Amino acid sequence: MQIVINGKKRQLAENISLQTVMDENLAAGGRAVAELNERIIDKQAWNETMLKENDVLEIVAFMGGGSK
Amino acid sequence: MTVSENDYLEIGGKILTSRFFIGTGKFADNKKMPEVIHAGKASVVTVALRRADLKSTEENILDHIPQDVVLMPNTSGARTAEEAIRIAHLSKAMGCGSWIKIEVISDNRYLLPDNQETLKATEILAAEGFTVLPYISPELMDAKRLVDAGAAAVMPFAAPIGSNRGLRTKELVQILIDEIDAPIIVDAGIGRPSEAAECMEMGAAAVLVNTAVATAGSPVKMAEAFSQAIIAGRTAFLAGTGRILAAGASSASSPLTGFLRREEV
Repeated sequence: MQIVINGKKRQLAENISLQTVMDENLAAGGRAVAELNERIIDKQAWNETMLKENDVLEIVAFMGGGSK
Repeated sequence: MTVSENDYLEIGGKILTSRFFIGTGKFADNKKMPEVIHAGKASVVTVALRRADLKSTEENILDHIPQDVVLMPNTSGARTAEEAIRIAHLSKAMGCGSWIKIEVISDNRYLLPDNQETLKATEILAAEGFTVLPYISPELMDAKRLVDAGAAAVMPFAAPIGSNRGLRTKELVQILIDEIDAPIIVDAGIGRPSEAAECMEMGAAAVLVNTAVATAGSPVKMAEAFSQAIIAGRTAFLAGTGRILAAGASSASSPLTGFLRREEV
């Protein structure tokens, strides 16, 4: 199936959980927030959240920044 | 060193250990961040939220920020109130508290904030329980509306973001300090410690600096200089500055003594 992660189309296996995608994409210990179809998914719910065709996933994290 | 034992700044129920807020953008080396924050004795540290660099092995910025400071995510990148609110919600989900610097900018040349969109976002986020610090163009009525909407402080710019041009909005900022019943924190454009001191002498509650420190020859030394300047300016404000004579007048500071010339008795 195809989903969009951080603006890029990606091909993923069927029946894949958000937890798996987060584990595969984040460096060890990376602190990030997952927003699936514009809804924030709590970390505790990553395991039980299964991705589906055409999902839009944003993975965001803090970076250095003062203003704009 | 603190200004005085009874002079502390409280925002959003937190007593801050200093009046120096520091931004973490543009640093050549994030590993220097703890040393910079420590040298500046900064009490509040800003960060931005971005798409995660997937597969990156770089450490998280949070690894470089000491635990004892208040983390203040900003909504940089937002062009509307709606986008700012979305960023605020994502930032809160990071689990680092509920402070948020609202920054809504759609002007790409001067990066001036959109006060109206900022007000909309402030109303909603303050009602949701965020500690909201809006970044604005210094305008009295807008500042009043923001405080009425629940802003914990108001942050007018001194000059365009990243410009290091100093306190170009001095008279407008002074009006906010005089008229607004909330801390006024001068944010953006401050390029030198002397300018930060000037803000504090005027009665600003705090100063937020990023570019001036990040782009200094030695960010650590510059952070220290800002810390000293902010304390000096605050102390001067508390002391009450002396009067200024009109041009052309003077007033001797030493007692007039007669012994150099023979004077008739």
